[in-house]
Amino acid sequence: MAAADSPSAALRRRDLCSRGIRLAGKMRSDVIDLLDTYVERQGLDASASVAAVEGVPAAAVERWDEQTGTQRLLENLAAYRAFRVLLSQMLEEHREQLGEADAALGRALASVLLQVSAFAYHLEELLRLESRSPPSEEGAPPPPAPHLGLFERKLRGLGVLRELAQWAVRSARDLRQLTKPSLGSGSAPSRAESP
Amino acid sequence: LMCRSNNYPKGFYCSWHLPTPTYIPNFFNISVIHGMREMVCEKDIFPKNRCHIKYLQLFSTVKYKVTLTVTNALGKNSTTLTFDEFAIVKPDPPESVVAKPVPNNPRRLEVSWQNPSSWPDPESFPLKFFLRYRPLILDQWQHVELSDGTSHTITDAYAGKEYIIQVAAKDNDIGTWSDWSVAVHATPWTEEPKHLTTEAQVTETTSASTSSFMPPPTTKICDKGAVVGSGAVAVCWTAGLVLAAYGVLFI
Repeated sequence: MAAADSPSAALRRRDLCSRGIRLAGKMRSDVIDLLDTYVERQGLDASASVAAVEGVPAAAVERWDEQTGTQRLLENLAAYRAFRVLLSQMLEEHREQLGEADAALGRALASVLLQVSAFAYHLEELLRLESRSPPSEEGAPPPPAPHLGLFERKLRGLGVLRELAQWAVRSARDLRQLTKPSLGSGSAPSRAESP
Repeated sequence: LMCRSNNYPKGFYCSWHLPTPTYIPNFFNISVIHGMREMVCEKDIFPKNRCHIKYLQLFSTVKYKVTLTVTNALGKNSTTLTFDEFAIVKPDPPESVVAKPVPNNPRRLEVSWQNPSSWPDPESFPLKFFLRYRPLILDQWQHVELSDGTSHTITDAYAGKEYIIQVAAKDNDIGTWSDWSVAVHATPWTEEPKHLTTEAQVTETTSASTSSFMPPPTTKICDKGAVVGSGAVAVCWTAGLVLAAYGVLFI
């Protein structure tokens, strides 16, 4: 881990984290706008409760402050890779369902998908900086979209976007934790810092 | 019934009061449900109508459901509040707000403040701030939003006017703005007006008694008793001598 501790590596980490925080902030803002558009175009109730959706990574975490830097990066990366697949599926379903009838929603979905991909790449860079190779994505193909009726698909899409909005907040917090000088990639914070 | 988190991410508190007194003893019971989990709301000793909950999870999309039941000898009633984790985050106002004039800058005021002491981890959960200021003589506020730092220099203050200034805080990403801080007052730096020295003032008084010459009312050369620098004293002397000369001429 000597390379990860060098001054240039520390500067690079700080730079990547700062840019990542800004990226997460922009992503969250766009996802919230997309949520409003999605709810309106899909004829959903914005306050509708959506049960935990299978295959959608939940942002909720216990003992968040006790996670190590590497844990944060790995969990974030796994989540955004999953969102990349889920948003691709949503985009394809949207095109099949509406074609060009709702180009604005399609464009907004595509824009968020791009940001999610960019953020995933950002996380991979951070992991490489920690002298850790990002887990390989090759091998098992992504899980196919479940066979759901139209309404279930709309609700699933709502769940995906809501969870993505939470992840964007969590990611910004995670990256801020990484910039703290006391926290290296492998060290956990002291008990005194726990809520 | 209201719930609020002013110490995110540690937890939140709920407080309540009866809209009208019952004049008989009332017993309050509060339950907090998050998903399938019932959480403990620890009652505060003071005030009695408040309890606090520690967050067991962060970044959850599952709503919290808080139900308050009040029971007395005549019956019971209950009310329920449902909210997202992020929606109730509202910091306390910034503390130690200080506003000072900036020397030799008649249009500037330097304002500084501190994070509310109840906010547990401003490094990981930074706050952003909203500053508002106006001269006392006007009703309209000027606003500035600041995404980092706990100080700001106002550069467009009206010279010589007393200002009232307040600051509010909000988590950078979630929740709502705090209430406004305690107001502070400040007046920008002003240059001290020039005045005649004591001898010049005596000369002016003597000449005024023997002639009808008077300086125009708008001309205020020196004030009696004002503190001046050495440059201003020389100007006062000269002005006094000129006035005396004119006075003699017209006798």
